[in-house]
Amino acid sequence: MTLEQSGLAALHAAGSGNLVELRDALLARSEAIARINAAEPSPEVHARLATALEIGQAIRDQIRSLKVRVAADGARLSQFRNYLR
Amino acid sequence: MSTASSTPATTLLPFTGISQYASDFDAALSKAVQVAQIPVTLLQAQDSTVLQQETAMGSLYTDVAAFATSLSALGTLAAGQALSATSSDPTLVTATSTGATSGASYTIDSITSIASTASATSTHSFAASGPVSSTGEMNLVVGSSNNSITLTDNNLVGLENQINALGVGVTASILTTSSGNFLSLSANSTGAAAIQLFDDPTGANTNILTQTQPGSNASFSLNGIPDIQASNVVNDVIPGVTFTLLGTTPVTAPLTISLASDPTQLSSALQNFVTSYNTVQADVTAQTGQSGGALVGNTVVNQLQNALSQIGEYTLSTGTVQSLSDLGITFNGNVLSFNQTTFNALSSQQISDAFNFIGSATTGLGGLSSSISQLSDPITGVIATETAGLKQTDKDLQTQISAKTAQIAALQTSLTLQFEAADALQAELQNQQESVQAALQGVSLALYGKNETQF
Repeated sequence: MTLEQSGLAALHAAGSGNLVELRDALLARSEAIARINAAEPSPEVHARLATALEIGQAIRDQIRSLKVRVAADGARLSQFRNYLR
Repeated sequence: MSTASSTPATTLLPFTGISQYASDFDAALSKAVQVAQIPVTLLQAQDSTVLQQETAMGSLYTDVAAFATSLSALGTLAAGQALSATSSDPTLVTATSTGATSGASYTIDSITSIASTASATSTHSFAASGPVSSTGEMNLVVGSSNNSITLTDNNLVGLENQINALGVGVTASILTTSSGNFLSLSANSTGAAAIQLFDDPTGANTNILTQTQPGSNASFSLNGIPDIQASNVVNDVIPGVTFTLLGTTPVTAPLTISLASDPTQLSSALQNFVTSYNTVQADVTAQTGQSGGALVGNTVVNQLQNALSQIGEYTLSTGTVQSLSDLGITFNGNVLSFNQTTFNALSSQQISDAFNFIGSATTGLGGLSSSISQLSDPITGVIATETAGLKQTDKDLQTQISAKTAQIAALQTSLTLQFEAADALQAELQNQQESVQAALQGVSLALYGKNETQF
């Protein structure tokens, strides 16, 4: 996968809360980053890296949102388990 | 050209135990958390109700069983006409009725002796550990019973232990006096039975005991018939009567044992019946109606209600006592009350008719105890059956609650793993972002001679 493809796949996976797909997409993205690092500097490479940086920010926001939801569910369960005791 | 390197992807955490949420983590997990709470609270509410029913049933069982017992006892008393045995001289003879079924009078005279226990002591003392037998062979005679003893330990303690182990109705002990150690034997029960202990029974056959008390039988005449008993407590001569001889009398001073109906026993039994009836009635009332307890609508309560009505409304068409009110028992609402004054005014004929009205433990009013026993029987009774069912339901609910609680615990574990995995992925992403930014800076510098990126 290209840097763009893997970034978008990771963004989609984070948005849908699919951690397995997110892991696979980040793995592919890591490999794509390694490949582009080996490429000769060019305006095209510059543009692709800039886009990758923006997509990465979007992925980070989705993961944060996901963590907030997981934490909230965990807290709700803890509260309920204490109620059961 | 390479300007930066990213963190190897192989450092990502494995997602153990979360695959079930992989397809749509957010929606599925949130829903699971919400749904998991609902059945447990419902099950707990159900179990709480079941436990309340079980407690109420247990309380009901105790009261109903007591009522069945009181009604049955009332019937048994009536069947025996509430007979009581009295003695004309309780200092010499006491008597109790143990199930007599008809009134009568008996004369006892000529109590020439009362029963006593036999005892004997060794004719001489023994050294503490010296031999007690010349051959080790002895014969203990209690009345007409011969008991051979081969001494294991030929000394006083050994002999004492072996005699006590025989179980022939005598107890051996050692008297430690200033004159030495003596063997003492006492009969365990009264009656004329000589105690002898022979040394070397096949040879010298020497009795080493001297009689302290010979033991005696009770001797008396009942209705002119001479009788001898080994015990002063005589329970097999007059049917349903046990009398105890306490002293001797001359033939010219006869005593009388009388068996006659005792209204106070009937009065007491009726009062018990009323009290236990009212207790059960209060239980039924507490489990009836809109403000009733956990057993409202339960079949046991309905059956009890019917049984109580049947008992309270019981009538007989003959005799001077035909209903409970004739005995001084009346209803105030659904509560019974016993009027002692009314009862005390009953004539002998009415008391006799009262026995007929009450019947026995299996007939008449007393016979209705069976309808109560059907409920309170600890094995086959309806209450026991209902209680067993409630216990099983409680057990089942507890099992379900445990399973649901375990599911919630598993869900929580899963959430923790999810959070940790998200954390790890976030860290990985951060590494990648730093790597991309470094690369971008490198490219900017190479192409434009300056770093134009801001992140």
